[in-house]
Amino acid sequence: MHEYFIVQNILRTIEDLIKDYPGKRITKAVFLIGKFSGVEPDLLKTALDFFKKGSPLEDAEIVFELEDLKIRCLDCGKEAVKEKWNMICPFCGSLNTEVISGEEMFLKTLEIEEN
Amino acid sequence: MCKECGCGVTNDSDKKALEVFEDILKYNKFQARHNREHFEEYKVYAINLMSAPGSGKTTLLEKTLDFLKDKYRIGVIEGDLETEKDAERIRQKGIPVYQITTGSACHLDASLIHKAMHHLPLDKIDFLFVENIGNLVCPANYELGTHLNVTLLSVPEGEDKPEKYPLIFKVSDVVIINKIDLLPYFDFNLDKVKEDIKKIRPDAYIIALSAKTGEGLDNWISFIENKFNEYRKKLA
Repeated sequence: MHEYFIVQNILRTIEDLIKDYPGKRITKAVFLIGKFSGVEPDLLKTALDFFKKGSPLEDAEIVFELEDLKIRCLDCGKEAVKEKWNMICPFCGSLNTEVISGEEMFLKTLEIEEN
Repeated sequence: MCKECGCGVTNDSDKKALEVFEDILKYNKFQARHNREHFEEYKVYAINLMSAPGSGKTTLLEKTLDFLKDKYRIGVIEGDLETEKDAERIRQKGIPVYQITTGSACHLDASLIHKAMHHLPLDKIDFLFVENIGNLVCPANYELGTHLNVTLLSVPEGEDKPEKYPLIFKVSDVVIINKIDLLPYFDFNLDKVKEDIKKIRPDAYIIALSAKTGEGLDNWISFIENKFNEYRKKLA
């Protein structure tokens, strides 16, 4: 259910963007999805394939690029990729860390061509 | 096809790649920011209560209202798929409540909160409680513009929930472990759960309580009263 609302947001984003390119066709849309963004890429793909009919994305190839959860330690300065959501620095054990990536849900690029 | 990245866009093609980098949830984020402005205009302190169904959000809310209602002016936004039952429980206390029935939607979003808040007398409210849809997954993605995100985890749900549903704990400023009167009957290691939550959200404030017996409730009440006082001081 949740993925459907994400799709609505995607289509709205794209409809807003495409206003500046009248008469153009979208051939490809690339999304950047954090592995810990809370959205399941497979489900999102299914929902998007279903709901894109009749939208500017209808003929577009949909590509998902998955982004690892990466944290930076503010004490030792090192960066680490995490498989689980766990903010502990694997190098020094500090909890004084910040997320660099892995939470995002972005429309990265649109490829468009003349009709 | 482009040799560098395989994007299908080359100099001689009629295709054009637009670097967009738009946040897919930006509309909700804009709306959440707008909601926050409304709250601050009326000096309303807004609290978003999230949890799985049956964790005790409504019971906690009722008990909280009993503690606060003689001292503060309170408003409530209730989110439910169907029925006005929760709203009715609150309304009986003489507190203004607006019910959002989402039908099939699994979460509240900022635009629903915006519509709801304009049905409440914001100029006569100090604390606004939002009871989100019972769901440990979807509400985590939708900021509402509230000042404090609170997630309840009740003992019978099991100690593995923070590890299984990290996102909702990640977005929570406060985690309430509810139904601690049931601790003797469940394999629920309170210290381990607190540790697991800290791994996900190191600065989360964790309160163990039983909304039913009232044990630990004073910690919760004094926490939100302090937050409220800080908020009002900041706005003054």
